[in-house]
Amino acid sequence: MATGDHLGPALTHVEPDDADALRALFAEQRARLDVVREHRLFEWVGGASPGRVALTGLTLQLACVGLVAVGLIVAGITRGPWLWGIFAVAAACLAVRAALVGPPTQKALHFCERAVLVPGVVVADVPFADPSLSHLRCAAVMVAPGGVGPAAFAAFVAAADRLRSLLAEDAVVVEHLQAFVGSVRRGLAARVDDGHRIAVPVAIGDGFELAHLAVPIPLLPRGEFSSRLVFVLLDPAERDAGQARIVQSTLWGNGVEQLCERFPREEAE
Amino acid sequence: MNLAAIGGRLRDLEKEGRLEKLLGQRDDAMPWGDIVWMLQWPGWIGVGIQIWRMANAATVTKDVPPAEMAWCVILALVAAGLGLAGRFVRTKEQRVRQWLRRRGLVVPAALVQANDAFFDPGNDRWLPGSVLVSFDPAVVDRPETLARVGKSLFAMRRADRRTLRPEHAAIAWTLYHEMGPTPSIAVPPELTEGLRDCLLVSAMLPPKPALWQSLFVCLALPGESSPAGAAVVAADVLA
Repeated sequence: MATGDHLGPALTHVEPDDADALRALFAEQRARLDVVREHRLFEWVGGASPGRVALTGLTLQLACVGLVAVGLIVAGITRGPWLWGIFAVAAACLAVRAALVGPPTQKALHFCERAVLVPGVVVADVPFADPSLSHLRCAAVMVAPGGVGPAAFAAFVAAADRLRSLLAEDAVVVEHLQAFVGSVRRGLAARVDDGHRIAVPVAIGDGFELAHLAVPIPLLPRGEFSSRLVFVLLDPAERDAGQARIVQSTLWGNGVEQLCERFPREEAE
Repeated sequence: MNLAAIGGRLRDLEKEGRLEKLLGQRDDAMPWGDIVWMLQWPGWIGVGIQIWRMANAATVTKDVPPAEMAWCVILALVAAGLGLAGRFVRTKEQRVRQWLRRRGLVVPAALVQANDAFFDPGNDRWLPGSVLVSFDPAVVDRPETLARVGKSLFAMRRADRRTLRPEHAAIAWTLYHEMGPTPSIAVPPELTEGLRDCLLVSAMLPPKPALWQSLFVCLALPGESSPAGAAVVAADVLA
């Protein structure tokens, strides 16, 4: 551990107004990410899998193996076009796999290697329509990609709470915020959870962004979605889809349960 | 059963090809080494077909064309090459696991920490934990020392790491962050009451570990820091 972030106290509870404890918690979070990267334990941050194309890649790999096996047998029968055709198709399978799986894998790895853990406040959340996704909630989460220092932590949460009040059904939204609030509401209604982020208007808070994310409830502290405070892994330089995710609470650090309890979530429905 | 007898039992299981499964060593990824090794068999089938074709042709022409013979040799080389390559197309982790099963030493291990579910009476899952392994022959006469050191290491996780020496802080941090598997860490002798060659190992714990003098039985490779270089033995392995 070259940074020394791991040299801290053993945290048991962290209060939002305790700057030293917050500083130690944020250092501990960085040190935990260092462990993940140093030992390539990417499953702790949701994995560096290329996502939906992974199965296609595996299928192509298996097809290649099968074709090579057939080709080896056919080699005893002919040295003609059938043999080379089989090996050509096997090679094509590998080439297609590399083209399909390679770029998303690189992107996912790049994300795991660059992303930082920042506090986020859930400003609105809705269930998914699919009952099999009851362990997830579709959420709009306000984050500070540049990080939040201990001194600015309370101001960040307050700004997020202002945004939450604007997203309430009966809220009166001033004209210059209507487009932003409307886009967040539309994202929630469409159950957008791809991790893309949009800038939050300066009127709400400077340097903040809003991420559309899936909240994995079993990975939260105590396996409960009882706090609006979460920690989000994101790439500060990229706002595209897939560049933010909520990671399991082990990465959030020790003592974070008590911190989360100070920011209870009001059940939306 | 003493440690030497347990070692003999594990060697027998390895010869029977059963130890890998019994140690809970399974691959999440596709075992490319095994796949490449298995591809030699279609290769040999191809060689057999080619020989059969050459023999048939020879009965008619009384001669085998050199090109056919050369092709047969090429096919045989490919098949043999696949059989050999299968041994080398393995990840470092797979190689370490194999070394562990073949050359690992049976040593006692003290529990340092484990996933909470490990202590549930009804637990039937392999769960992650940390154990303290000692390769010091003296540990056989002082098993209680190893158990005591294991407990004192567990207490270190609550220490303020800013106040510890760097090598102690690294141990405290590993136990504190609880993430794994991470490489094994050599535990300095000042923390082990004089026991030498002690390693803090990140291991999967079987639901019912094999016990020796109240300590876990561990198969471990001396000097290997990879987490695959040690495995806690389950009780049913020795049944």
